[in-house]
Amino acid sequence: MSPRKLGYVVPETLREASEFLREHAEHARVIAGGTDVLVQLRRRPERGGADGLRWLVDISRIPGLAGVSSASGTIRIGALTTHEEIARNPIIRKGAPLLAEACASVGSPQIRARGTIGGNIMNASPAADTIPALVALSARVRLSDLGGTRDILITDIFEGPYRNSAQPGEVLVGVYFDALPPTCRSAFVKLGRREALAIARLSCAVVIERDGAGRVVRAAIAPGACLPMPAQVSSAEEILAGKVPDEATVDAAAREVAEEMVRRTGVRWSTDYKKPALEAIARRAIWRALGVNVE
Amino acid sequence: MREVGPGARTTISFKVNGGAVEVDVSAEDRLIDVLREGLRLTGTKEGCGIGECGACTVLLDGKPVNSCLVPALQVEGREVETVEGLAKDGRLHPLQEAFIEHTAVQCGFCTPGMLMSAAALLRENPNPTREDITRAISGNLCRCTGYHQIISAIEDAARTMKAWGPVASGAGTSEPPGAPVVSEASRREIHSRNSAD
Repeated sequence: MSPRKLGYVVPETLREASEFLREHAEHARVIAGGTDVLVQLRRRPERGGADGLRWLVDISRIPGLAGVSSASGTIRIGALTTHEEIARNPIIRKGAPLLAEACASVGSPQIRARGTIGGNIMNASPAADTIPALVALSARVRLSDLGGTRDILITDIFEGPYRNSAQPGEVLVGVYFDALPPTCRSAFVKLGRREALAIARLSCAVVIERDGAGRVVRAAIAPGACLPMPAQVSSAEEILAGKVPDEATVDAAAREVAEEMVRRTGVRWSTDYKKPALEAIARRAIWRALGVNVE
Repeated sequence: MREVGPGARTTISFKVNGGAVEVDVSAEDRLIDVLREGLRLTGTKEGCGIGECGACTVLLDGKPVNSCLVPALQVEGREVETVEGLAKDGRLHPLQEAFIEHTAVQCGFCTPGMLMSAAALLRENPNPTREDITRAISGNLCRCTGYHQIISAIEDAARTMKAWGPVASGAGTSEPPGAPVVSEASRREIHSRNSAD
């Protein structure tokens, strides 16, 4: 396969995984579905390949880390749950439809059958499809280590592109968020170069809750693949807040998403394309989260 | 905890096309390496090696996966089906027959992966629409056919299999009665089609 010499361990418990990861720190990497790790192993270090890596720590046989459950309004997704399982899961389709959409848009059937939500988060690709949806849901992630677990906001797990903030020994075990109430609608819209297997060039996740009069009580807008760090765009959310959205309001909010991207990233060679494209995607996602299908 | 050190080798046991196998692997071997080099099952092709093209698609516990992205050690104790497992007792699988019938094969490199994605689809959904088929093969690139012949072949195979009643699923089960045999004539026809290209 590659000229490097790698070792492989298959822990049976989280304790074993954490002990090994602590001992080998930056020379060890967690592997689950392998859809990112095996691609990175083939890259040269100077092109983002895994430099200095000596061990793969395969957590896929640790019990209790797969599956979706819900208790008193909180949905829990185990780190080893695949995109396919999430996209089909009735709890997710009802309580977080935007995440089901995001998972259904990942890669191809082959990738969705293997890739896990934990891997998608910890790989921390700026183009990860599940991340904008999880950010819009204000999800928390649970990290396990020898001393126990800690929960942090999804946005705090990212340190930069392809860098997560977990400490050596910490394993992501699950994602938690509140199920969306029936007064909420959500949408995930993605722009890729083609339908399948396309890495998101741009995406946008939106959650909107409205009261009986149609006024926006809560809006969460999280664009993907275009910000230095995954985040909500509160300035655009504020444009919608308290209003019964009409075309001008939605246009203004979508424009604000694109302008905020430019403020955060600066003007780049791609800005001429990305700014109007993100504006259009944000507009589409907002309308869909208002129950209107627009193309 | 199983540990395979850098450069070390170990034996893994799993099932391929219904039969138990034991293979010697290193930590860096992928499922496709084990299939093609360890077991000489060269029907599975390696295209891109990074999970983009689907040529290496096999079924792992019944689900289509890119065998170039599966570490060999993850296959321990599991079940793999490859294109070699589709034909039974010298009779081609209805999908294979339909691919020939519809000229859904040109250079042939994508065909084994395409067949495995189609086989997984028909097991789960015996009545797929063209859209279902398109989605099921969206992870398999074909640069020759333009896909229409492939989609029609899969549609056709679904009809044939339905006409036979409940479809055999899983490796090692028997084919429904009346499955067509590849005749000498159709073999010659395939050969002449290919040489005419």
